[in-house]
Amino acid sequence: MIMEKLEVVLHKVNPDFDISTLSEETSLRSDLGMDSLAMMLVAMEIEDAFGFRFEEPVDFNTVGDVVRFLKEKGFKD
Amino acid sequence: MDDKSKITVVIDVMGSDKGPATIVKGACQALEDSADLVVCLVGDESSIKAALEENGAPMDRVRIVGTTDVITNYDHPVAAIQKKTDASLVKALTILRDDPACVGLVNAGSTGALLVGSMMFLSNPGERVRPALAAVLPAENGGFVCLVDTGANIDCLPSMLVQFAHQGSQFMKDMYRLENPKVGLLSNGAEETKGNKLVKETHLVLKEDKTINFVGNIEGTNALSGDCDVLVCDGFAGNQVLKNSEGIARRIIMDIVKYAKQTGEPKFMALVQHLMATYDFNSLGGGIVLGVTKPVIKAHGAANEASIRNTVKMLVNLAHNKNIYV
Repeated sequence: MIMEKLEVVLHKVNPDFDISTLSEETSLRSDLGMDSLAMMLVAMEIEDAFGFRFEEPVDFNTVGDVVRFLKEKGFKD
Repeated sequence: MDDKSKITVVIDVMGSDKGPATIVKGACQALEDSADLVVCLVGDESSIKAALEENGAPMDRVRIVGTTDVITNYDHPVAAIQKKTDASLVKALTILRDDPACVGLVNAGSTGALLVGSMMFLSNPGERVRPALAAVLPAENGGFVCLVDTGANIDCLPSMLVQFAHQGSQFMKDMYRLENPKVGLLSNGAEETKGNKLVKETHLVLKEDKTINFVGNIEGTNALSGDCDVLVCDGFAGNQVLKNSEGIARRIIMDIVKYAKQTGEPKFMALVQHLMATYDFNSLGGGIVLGVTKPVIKAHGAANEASIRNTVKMLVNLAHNKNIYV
């Protein structure tokens, strides 16, 4: 559930990335080529997809970091 | 003229190199240009009031929104937009988003914060895209070229350049009423096979895109020829084109000034004035943030009052053609 939604979000932000290679080890910056503006876009798309608002600026390194954050927020796998 | 027929431009007076007085002075000059214009000045209230008084502004067409904080170039853009809730830029973006009478925003402060803030405040869920920063430059044929991107997106993917092509095309339709703007792709040769990996891949996509008028690759020497109305490139290349053009124009103008002084020929000084009026960044307005729900213009950090005046004029012209673009 979390990973499926994340795939949609990340594909939307970076349509050129082959989403079939996505894993929790995928680096948002080095593998997906995201800069701070793209990271902001990812954060906003996550907010819309999961229906909550980040209360603090977030800085995720990997897809796994995002998954763990969402699990801590109570979202199910 | 009733209030409904007036258009409001929001101006963030803080964060520029020359300070609020210069920005307010430019706003006052813009008010003289357009009888249907109202300016909403956002920033340090006492500085705004002092500058308005000094310039004899028509106060019935001025709104003042006082703020206590500023986002500077030293702030992290994302954190600043989220944390500095009473910053002039945050207030200005909020007003632009929430007030239907407001047709656009001018800011001469942090470019990063403006891009992040524009994306946060002026995008709709489901339609949100990464913003691009475009510049409109005078072309040899008397028209204009919209160069996109000019530095907001340094490392680009083909999908981003395709997005820039669509955004630039729509902007030229809205701003200059061009029916079918010609879209070119900056490359190191006009042939389809020329270019780096990014350009070659983008070329293949744009060539098949029937919703825009793609005219192929454009070399740097023809960037401002008028062969295309929209010139697409990544932000790194676009920034080089923009600044190199400024640098070459300045170099030529200074050579003519030197020659005019040596020869004492007044007609050369008239030529210098014409070139300055055409190519100086203060004459050209600012960079346009594309991909947002309302027009946002980034004025040069060192913008003088003429630059602010011309930037506001761009928004007025855009509003007269079409109030909102995405």
